Amino acid sequence: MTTDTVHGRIERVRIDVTPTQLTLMVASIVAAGFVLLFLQDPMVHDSMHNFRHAVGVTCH
Amino acid sequence: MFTEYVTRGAKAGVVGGVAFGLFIALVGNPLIGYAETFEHSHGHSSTVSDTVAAVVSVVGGVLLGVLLGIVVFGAIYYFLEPVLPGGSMDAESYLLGGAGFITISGAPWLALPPQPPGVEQSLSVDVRIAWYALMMGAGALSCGLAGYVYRRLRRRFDDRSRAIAAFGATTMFGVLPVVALVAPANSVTGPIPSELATVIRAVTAMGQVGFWFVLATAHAWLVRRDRSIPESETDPIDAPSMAVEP
Repeated sequence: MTTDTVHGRIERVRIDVTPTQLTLMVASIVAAGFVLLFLQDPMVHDSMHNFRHAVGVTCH
Repeated sequence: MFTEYVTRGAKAGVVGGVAFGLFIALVGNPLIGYAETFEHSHGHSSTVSDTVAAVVSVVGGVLLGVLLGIVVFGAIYYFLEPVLPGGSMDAESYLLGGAGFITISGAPWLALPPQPPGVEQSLSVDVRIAWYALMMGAGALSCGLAGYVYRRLRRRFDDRSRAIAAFGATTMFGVLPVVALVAPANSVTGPIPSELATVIRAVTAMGQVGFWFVLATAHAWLVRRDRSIPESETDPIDAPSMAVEP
């Protein structure tokens, strides 16, 4: 099987996924991660207070 | 093929996310709410109502599950599957789940353990975020090193001893407490009784362990299900030529 190495897998992604699709995927994941972890807007920050405690990250 | 892996990761993420959302709804929110009743000094100076905070936190839990499912069990599993030690498919999912826990929570907690609400911490938020990120990096690095050492030792000892390779791999995690010791001390004072603080830390840790366990279990189940179905529609790239010449 040609896909049985990490290098082979990377090559497969290059064939299967267009740069646009890849950019969209990465962008949406980064955006969601940013909102969850780094958005310091008081409304969002306070709403996520219990969430951060449940994850074990504290910011006060 | 990549898309299939990411879709499967997202499915596992939904299962893990719903489980973690339930944990926040049934355990996290009430426990944090109760702990906050000990805060006499500064009244609850939040810009949002408790209900909004509770609902948003549950949604955040589900979203975190989907996000980690896509990234860890979708993309990272796709790229690292050829080199993941394990032998059986289930073991690969659980190893990845363990590595995820160590990276996101386990390693950073060695320097900055979970805290109950209302505590005053001596380190500033910026310093703590930097150390949390640094410990995440150290956690990911030690997981990667452990995998590398495991493979090298298995090859070196001619596949004779799993135990030697597993022991060698485990020693790679020894750097984590050392790095945590270098971190500046974060002294904590708070109004919450120490027994309750201990309970909150333990429940938080159990929540994260459970979250990764559910993620990995759901993923292992989905992988097994996908592999047991004979591939009716294979990718055009690796589909064998079915045309049989008479």
